[in-house]
Amino acid sequence: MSFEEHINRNLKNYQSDVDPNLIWENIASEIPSENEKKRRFFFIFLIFGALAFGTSHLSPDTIHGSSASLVINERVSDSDNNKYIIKGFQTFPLRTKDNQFEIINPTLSIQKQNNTLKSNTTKHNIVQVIRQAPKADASPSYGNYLIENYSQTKKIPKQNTITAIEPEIINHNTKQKERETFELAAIDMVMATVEMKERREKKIVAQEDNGDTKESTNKNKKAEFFGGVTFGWGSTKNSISSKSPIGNSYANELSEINTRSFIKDYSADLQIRFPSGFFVKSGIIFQETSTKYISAEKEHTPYSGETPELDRTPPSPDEDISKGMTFSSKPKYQNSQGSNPKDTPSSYTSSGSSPLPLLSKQVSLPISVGYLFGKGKLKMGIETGLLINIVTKCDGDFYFPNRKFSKIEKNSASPYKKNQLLKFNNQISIVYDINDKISFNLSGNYRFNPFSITKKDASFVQKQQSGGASIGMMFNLSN
Amino acid sequence: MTEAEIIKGCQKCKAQFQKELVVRYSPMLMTVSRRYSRDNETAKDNLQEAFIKIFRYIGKYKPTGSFTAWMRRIVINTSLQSLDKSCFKREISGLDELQNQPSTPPEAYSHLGAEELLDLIQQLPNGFRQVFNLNILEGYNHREISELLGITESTSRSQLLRARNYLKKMLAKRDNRIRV
Repeated sequence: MSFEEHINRNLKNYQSDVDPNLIWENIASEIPSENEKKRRFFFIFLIFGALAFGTSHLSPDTIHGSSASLVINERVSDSDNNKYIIKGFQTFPLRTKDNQFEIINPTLSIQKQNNTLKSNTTKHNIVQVIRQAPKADASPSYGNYLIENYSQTKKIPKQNTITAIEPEIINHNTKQKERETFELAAIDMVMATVEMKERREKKIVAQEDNGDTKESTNKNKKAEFFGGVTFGWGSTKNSISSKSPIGNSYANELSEINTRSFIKDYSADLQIRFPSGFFVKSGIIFQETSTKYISAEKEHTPYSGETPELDRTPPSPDEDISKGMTFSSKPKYQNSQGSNPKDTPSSYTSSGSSPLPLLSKQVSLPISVGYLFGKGKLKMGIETGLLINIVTKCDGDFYFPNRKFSKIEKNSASPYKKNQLLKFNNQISIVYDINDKISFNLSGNYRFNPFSITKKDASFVQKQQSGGASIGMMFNLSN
Repeated sequence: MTEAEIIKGCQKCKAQFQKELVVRYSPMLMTVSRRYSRDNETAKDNLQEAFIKIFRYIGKYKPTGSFTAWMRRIVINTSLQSLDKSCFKREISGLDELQNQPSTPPEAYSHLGAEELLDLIQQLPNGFRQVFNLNILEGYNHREISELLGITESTSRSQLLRARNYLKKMLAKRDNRIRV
């Protein structure tokens, strides 16, 4: 036996003297333990859970949300009070049987034609219908359910039972027939929902038993709240007339003074539109009135029996009126007298204009009622109401007869009423509903004081009237 | 506790089975590790490292072959990986005088026991010891050894020849000491 054979025979099964416990103690902390295995599985589970969660959100909802447009998103209830969320998507990509993604660009449109809802869709459209089962019937699966209530009014092939409706991407592995059944049923459901929505919110044409059609109003329709802003421009005319003869030879010497002011107003509006077409409107208006023009007329009328003198010099305007004005005079003829009008002037009129610095700021509360004509997007509205002035602030001089220019607010002898500003507000509008949410309106208004804005003991009477136009947007707050 | 039960328990990372495996197979595997190591401390370190690998990869073990052979292979590989590959060149010089030594008579080694033989093997230079173990005790041929150690076949043959001569010389010296 050679030396190598001797070594082999002796060492092959030789057990060295070693302390296994010491070895175990040295390695026990470094070898995989049961707890570590559990932790590893936990983390693996966590990672896979996160991936599964993410995947479930990517498919189909997130995919739909990020790479597709949501066409339908409705919540409906059936006769058993089961609640449904119905969503129609245009979506891509879809998974092919080779697990390769392909991009398709499907279209889904649902439109109303000849009182019938029609759809134009490709077979790759995805309609997701999720049933929210009541608690007593809580189940993770999506069962079958009836849509009989919804299909009665449709002129499309009835598909009362939807089967295999699950929120998943339809892939090409799905059997063609099953997929088409699913799509037909789901689109059927969506169309019914759209129709139901229209019936609920708008006037629709309902099919009668005798084949006639007539308009019916859904009584369940509620009032809609609109809020908006308006910006307007306008002009105010102040009409001032003397209450009695001044007492000199020219009794009617001062007959009328007109001032013209330009208005800018900003308003925040709140409107409640009722299904009947009537509406009420309120809000708040900030109005800035800038008087930039004043005109005065002075008319000389001869006493009774006095013979007009052809060469009589026209009367000069009062000093107050003439301040800062440029006047011109011209004879006023009594054409009704016949003969030669040029030879018989009955009076002389002087007129002039001047910038008069006056800035008035007012905050008013409008209250009005109105009616909207029209059913489509374009409507016409009329309204009438009051403007109640709640704050007034005036800067500048204001003219009134026989007095010097005065600060309106500071002059206790002011002929004006302190709480004078109650105006009638009449308005006509053109309203265009851009969509369900936003309306555009263009309106013209005529506002006037029903009463004099001057005190009873004032030597003159002043009335105001204004006209303006405004443009604004209204937003539907009901939804 | 059968070997299969130990394997199954270790695959589930149960501590009692892991300890049982260490207790049951440490003496045998320590012998393997000692053959490939310069000293017993290094052998123990390599064995502990090998056990860690065994427990880490026991889940991949398929009971188609010998479990003992599978563990031996891990111990051998662990020992070889701890070896500095340059030893195959560095220890060649100065050993030419060992070549062409006459064959050792059986009476020179027949009385040697396992511990003494292991002591002799451990005294071999690293390169000689690995090739000697792989060829003589594990049964690898030179091509397999060259692939395993990353050396050429001729180097493997040369290392084995010199390992034999080195052992003959050590046995001769040992025999002379005994006679004296």
